[in-house]
Amino acid sequence: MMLNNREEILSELTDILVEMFEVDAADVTQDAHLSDDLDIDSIDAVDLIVRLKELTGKKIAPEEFKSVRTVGHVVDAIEKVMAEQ
Amino acid sequence: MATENSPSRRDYYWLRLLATAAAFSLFGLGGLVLRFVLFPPLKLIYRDPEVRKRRARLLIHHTFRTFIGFMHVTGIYTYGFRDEARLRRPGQLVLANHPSLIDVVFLISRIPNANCIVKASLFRNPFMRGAVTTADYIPNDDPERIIELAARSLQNGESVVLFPEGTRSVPGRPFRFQRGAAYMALRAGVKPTLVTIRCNPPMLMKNIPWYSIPLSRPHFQFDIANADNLLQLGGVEESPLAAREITHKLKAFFTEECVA
Repeated sequence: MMLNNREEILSELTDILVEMFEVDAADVTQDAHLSDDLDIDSIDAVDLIVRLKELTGKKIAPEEFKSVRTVGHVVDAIEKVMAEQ
Repeated sequence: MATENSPSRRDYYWLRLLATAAAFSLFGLGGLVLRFVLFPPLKLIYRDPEVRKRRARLLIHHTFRTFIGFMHVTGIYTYGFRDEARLRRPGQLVLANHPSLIDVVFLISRIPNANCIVKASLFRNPFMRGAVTTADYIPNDDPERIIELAARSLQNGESVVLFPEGTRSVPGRPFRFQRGAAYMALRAGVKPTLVTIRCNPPMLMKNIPWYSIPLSRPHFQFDIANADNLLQLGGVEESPLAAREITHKLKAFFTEECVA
């Protein structure tokens, strides 16, 4: 899995969001707001976390996602768990 | 009487205003009577929490029915239900649009064993706390928990009342539906019962104070439909996409109904 830098993470995340929630790939930018721009609600977020755990193979605590508002924040969170050994 | 100087105020405007004030006071008082007078003996009589919960809901149902009648005879509104009997069947997921503050009072006045999703703050409200805790209603704070509790409630044969918008509609603005209702339907495998609520002229809307009553007497109309032709749930797995599709259809249904 290619998750070495932010671009790669964003590209993987875009694929996941398109597949899971049928969002428009063009709308997925770092600044895109999850609920306002992409219509991803808190129930979707639970499903997304499960999926990201599979993707990264790491544990992601739901608390890590409490402050997540934008796509950029999700990328930050993935970057952070990937940096942890 | 003052109605003569202001011709636009019709249908006993001042009496309706007075009755509305009385109704609000009565509602708060009723909440306290339930909490301090009627519910404490329930705890002694019915040891089984399941039975007690059902009795509490039945008591609330009758109280609301009386209250709806009170507001009707005092001339606050007229109202009508179409296909009301459908609401009495057990285990229904009742979904409605939400034009006014008293929608839930109307609906529960027609459903003997209704569970509903209520604002979490009502569990701390002194007037409402007794009723919402004894009836074991579901607080709206944790989305995953709401869906789980509502689905379990439906499987138990209780009816669940929910406004998919989550809050009262803002007139003139397109509906914004949350997806919780779709998840409940999918998880419990229950086809929703749809209630279209029309209130004309509008009354007790969002962001409008209670004393700002309409110039003429409003009529509330409740039309009950089943979702048989609208939704196919058989064999559909719970997923974000399935929930989106159902929500989309529900929104289209209510949008069309409310324009008509």
